Amino acid sequence: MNTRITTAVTMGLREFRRTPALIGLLIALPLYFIGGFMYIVPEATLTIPISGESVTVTLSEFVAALVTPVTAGLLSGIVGLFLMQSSKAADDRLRLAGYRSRDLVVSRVSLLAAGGLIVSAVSLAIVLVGFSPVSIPAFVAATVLTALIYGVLGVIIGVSLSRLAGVYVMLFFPYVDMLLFQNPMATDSTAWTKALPGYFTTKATMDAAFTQGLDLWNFIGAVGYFTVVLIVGVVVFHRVTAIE
Amino acid sequence: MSSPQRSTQSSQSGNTVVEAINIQKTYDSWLPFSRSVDVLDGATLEIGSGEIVGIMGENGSGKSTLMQILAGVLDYDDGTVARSGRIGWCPQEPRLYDRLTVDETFELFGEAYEMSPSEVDAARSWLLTELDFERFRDRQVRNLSGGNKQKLNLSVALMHEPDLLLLDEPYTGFDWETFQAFWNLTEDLRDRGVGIAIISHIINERDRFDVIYELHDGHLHREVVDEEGGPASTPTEEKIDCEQPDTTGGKSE
Amino acid sequence: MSLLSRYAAGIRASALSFFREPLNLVLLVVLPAASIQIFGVAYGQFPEFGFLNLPASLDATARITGATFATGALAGVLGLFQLISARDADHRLSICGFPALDLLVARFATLVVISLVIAGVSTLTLVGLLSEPVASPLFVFMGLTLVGVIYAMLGILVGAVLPRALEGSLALVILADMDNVIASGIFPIQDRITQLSPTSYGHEVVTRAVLDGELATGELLPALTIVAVLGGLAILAYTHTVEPIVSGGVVQ
Repeated sequence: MNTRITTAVTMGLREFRRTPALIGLLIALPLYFIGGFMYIVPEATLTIPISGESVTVTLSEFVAALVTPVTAGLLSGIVGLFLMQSSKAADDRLRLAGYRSRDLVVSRVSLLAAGGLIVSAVSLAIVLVGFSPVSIPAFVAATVLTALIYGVLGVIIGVSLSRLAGVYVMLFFPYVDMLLFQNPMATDSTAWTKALPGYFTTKATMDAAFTQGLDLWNFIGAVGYFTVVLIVGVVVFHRVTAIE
Repeated sequence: MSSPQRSTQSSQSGNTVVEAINIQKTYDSWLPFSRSVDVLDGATLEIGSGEIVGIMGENGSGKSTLMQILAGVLDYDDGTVARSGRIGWCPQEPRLYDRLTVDETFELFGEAYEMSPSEVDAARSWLLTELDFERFRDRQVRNLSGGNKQKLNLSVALMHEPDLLLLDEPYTGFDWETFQAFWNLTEDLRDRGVGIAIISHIINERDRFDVIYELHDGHLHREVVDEEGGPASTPTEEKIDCEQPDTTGGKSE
Repeated sequence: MSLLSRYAAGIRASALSFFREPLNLVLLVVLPAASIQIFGVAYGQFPEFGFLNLPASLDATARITGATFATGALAGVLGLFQLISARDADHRLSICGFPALDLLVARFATLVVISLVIAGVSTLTLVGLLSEPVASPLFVFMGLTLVGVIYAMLGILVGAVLPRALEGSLALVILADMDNVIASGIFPIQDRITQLSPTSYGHEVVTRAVLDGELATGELLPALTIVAVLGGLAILAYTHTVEPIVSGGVVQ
């Protein structure tokens, strides 16, 4: 990593450290969303189909496993949405001053990854207090991948749509994707829902939460999905920060 | 949208630091029932090294658009822009990172200009002293006053000692001492051979410029300034009549 | 200037700044229609909601949830951004003598107008897409307007407390999604918690209007109470940030 990238990442992290309201929200909102859901569902059990087997779990465990990646996706998506919008003008100037697009892309992706890791870490810390997934490392990996995929999607949406439409889409999209389309109870899902960003990560999360076996293909699919959206994101980023 | 009719290149002339020929720029909207706005319609301009050029025109005439095109941050529809050497751009809005301090801003942009730490330190000391805002170096940009923010904005454009300096209303918010210091600095840079373009509204400053371009209806009208600040009596050789732009050449080279 | 003309001036200014942006008009039509359709498709993938006791068919529940979500979320996001983007101008108006409370009322009134438009689009989409006849489109419209008004006030409150777009959006997204999941019936939720969900009242009004054409009057009082509580909090937060020390040249 060259000094330009390390300088830009360091400065980005300093800016983040100086936004106490944002840091507070990134802690409080997962607590409200994940902790809230685990608390408000009644004491009951349900049987869900996961990887071809029927697993009986409590409702609280089920929602904990389902809403953790949703939280990570929602929050990192919104952070990604504003990461570009808020720094676009200054980034233009930095490009003109000599930063290559590649340096700026790497530094912004690093910042996005840092944001995704923070959001994931907070979400996981909250959920793990009240719920023990069968495989904690796989559960952590699936949550982080969700945050990364939606973080980059947030960037793409942020530069492609207006602020109003962007926030609405990020409010709507992770919710319907992971809570509805990828919900293990949605057994009549059609083939095209496999193309949605939450397909591999939700399956990986549910596997890690409730089954012994680890299906590596879910992770390979999620990493592949992340790579594709990252390439699209880099192209979009390069286009919007292009100078002569 | 790519345009085969426009081009950008490094200037080959030893004395010209930027040359723009027949620049066309229209702001379009993809939405129906929205108006297109023609901003520049064959604008032509040339800035030599060691020359201070004023760009004037009424509000909304397209001065900042022209400046952004000269800087290379805004695309244009047609024409040619040729530049040489390093560019320093001071936009009207500072375009800085709000939560970085003054020192950190120097550090970040110094990295962008590929300056060594000692060069950044030297430039920072020079500009903090010259523009008198040394005591604010630990303050975050968002907490600076308008005038101090503008000093930092100007400093970022100057710190790498550019060959071409593009300043969009650079002294907004300056007090009188800083305003004087700014002009002393500008004249010092001119003596060092820096080509400087300044967007200005202050009529009384006309005598500080070597050349003034008036932007009106998308065209630039060039006027060489004499010692007293009025138009030079015999500007015939250097005067470019942009009302009748050359439609055959200069589009693409 | 009389109170009424001051309100009219405030509403006109904020309505013009919204409706003069053509993209906003496009979004008002496209987003509710798309959301209602997507919710219908999404719920269709669940073969049964065996553990739930849904009052309406799965398709009707899905599309009603889509309509309440779209109306609420859009009104909320608009409320948030209207407040954030106009904060400096509002402060200046306040210094010129325009009382902060009047400004807030004007902002809210504009959002009520916008909520009526969104609710209208959502009602028409719902009537068009539902496989069963809608018993009372008028009451559906009223229920959706109620959701829009609640969320407009919530957006204003969030914008007054968290004046940066990033923080405000984060808070609104989490609040709106949590509320909608509770109101939607996708998970069984403890009854006493459902009562705290603002959208659940509007959801119930719309469901009753779709199924039997009645106006669920019992839901209106708690819904209006929520609007009043959010409004009170918004007034406190907004006046605290916008009210100047000197107003209209007179020291307060």
